[in-house]
Amino acid sequence: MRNQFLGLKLCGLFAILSVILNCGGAHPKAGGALTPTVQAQKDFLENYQFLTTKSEKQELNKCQTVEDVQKFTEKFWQIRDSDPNTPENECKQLIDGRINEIKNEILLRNVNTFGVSFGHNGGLNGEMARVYLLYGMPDYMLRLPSGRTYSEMMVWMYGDEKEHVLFRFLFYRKYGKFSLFKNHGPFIGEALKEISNSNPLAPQYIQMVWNELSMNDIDGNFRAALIQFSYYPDITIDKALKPPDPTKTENGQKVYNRKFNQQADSILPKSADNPKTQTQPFGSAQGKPSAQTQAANKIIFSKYNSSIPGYFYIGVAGEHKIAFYLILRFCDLDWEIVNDSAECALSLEIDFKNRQTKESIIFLSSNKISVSREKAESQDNFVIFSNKMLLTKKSSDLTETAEEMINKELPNGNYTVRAFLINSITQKYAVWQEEISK
Amino acid sequence: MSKWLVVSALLFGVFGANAETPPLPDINGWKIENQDKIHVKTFSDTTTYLGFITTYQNPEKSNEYIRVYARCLPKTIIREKSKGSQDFKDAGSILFKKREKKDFLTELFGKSDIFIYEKWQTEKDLRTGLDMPPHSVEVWFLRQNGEWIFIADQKIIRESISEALEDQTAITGQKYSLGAAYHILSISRNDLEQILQARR
Repeated sequence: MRNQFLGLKLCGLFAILSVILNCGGAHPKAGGALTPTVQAQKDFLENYQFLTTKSEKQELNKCQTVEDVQKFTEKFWQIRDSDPNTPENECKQLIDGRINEIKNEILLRNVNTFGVSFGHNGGLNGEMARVYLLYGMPDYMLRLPSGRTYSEMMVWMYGDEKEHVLFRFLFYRKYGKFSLFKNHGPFIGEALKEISNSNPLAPQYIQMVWNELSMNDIDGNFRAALIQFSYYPDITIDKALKPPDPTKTENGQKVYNRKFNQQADSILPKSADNPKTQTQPFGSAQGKPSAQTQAANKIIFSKYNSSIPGYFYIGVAGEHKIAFYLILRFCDLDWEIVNDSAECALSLEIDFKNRQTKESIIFLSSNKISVSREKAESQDNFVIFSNKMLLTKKSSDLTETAEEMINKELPNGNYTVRAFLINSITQKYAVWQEEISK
Repeated sequence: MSKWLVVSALLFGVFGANAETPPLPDINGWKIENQDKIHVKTFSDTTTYLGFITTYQNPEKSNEYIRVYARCLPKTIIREKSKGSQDFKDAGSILFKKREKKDFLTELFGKSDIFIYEKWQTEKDLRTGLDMPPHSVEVWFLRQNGEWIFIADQKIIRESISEALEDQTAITGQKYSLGAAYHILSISRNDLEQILQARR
């Protein structure tokens, strides 16, 4: 009797299992292999499950063939394309880029998250990957090593243009893995229990966790992340983790998520081998505007972003007389276009520092060169500053030619001479340093 | 007449092309491995950014690297003093103010001029599996006159430049030398005076 009952129970179990395994045409084949349709659905969700809305998941489940899944995928990305006028789907590029970064373990070697691996925290299906897929690299990632009473924590912060914290995603280490903290709120006791080292945590120890955290969380970022997910009370973690609404628009443009347009273009410093000079409205690009310059004036910029190349020579000729040359090519200078001519305002400072006494004697000179525009852009024209230029001794009104000034004011001795040349408008500069003995 | 002959000779020598210098390395498409800023601290709360040192890795040859030294227009940041308030609601916002700094550094980096390239290849020590110091380093160095020179296996020397500021000496620049050639990055005296004024 007992055996008969057991037999019936087993039959029933087999019947239930066979119904589960065989329902629907698109489900796994006998032997565990997936049908191509299920495989395609699974592949799609493997990468994009966190971006797929509930209704889209239902739609995907209804797909009967691989072609249906392909059509679904095309539509999925089409409605998310932030700029349909371009052949690329910027949204797909962005998300696939983030998936690659997750697969390549971008955090592993990051200085703030050294050793943190997506793979060890659920891979593409983990909460860490979910946040990364939705919002990309956080603006700030902070880590707090485990204390005596609490687990190791890591907070990912995303800000907005008003410099407020939009999201604080707090991960704490539990059983060797990072879990996402979701119970933000004023009842800090529950939050402290969750991040504490002891489980369960006796009520009398909650204060100890808080005290230790307060001592080590100097800027309050981790305590803030336990209490409040966002600066804005209406933004909750549940809302932030939901798949973004693909149809949402802002100013007539499709907005996929707040971080969508914040990808910085890769930039490289300029190598000084680009022969093109650029003409730009003054104040729109490099340089600091001067009070005397009209905003409408234009600048012909040299190919250099910050420097003024030039040849500086200083030496002592007969009778202990110091002579110098500074040679600059016109095409290496920035010129301000004033009416039909080009002007360049250069300030030169020559500092003679006595190597024994360390005292400096400084001479200054302001020069405005005015030439035709064609000449300014020419490769063959030069300006030469020499002993004949006028110099003023710093901290005095004395102005004379360099030849007279330097030789009269500079006592005999060993000097380190530093010449500092600066364009008064664009602030590009050059420094030369030589040693002389007078 | 003789003066112009001297000047012409100088100009030819100074600005004439250096035929022996191989073409400058092309770092387009290379991966940034590491980046550091060239900066000086005139005071404990005042930092002036003068340039960047960035190491790139060849994506097609992972043991090949180029370190690039680039200069930018000097930019001074004076750190704000903490107000000492503890507002959890906006905790972390100070970091986003720092983002302004990150943004301006990105902008500075984009508007910088390269003045040194160092290129080398690493090799693995078969015994330890670790990278060995490179056998040879090729250096392209921009002299202050705009001429690129090329030297292999010569060390770049960095020296700090200091100036007397009020009652103390402050570092105001960095000098990079390669043999007799040099390149100096420095704060202008005008900027120094403004820094001093801001502190008063």
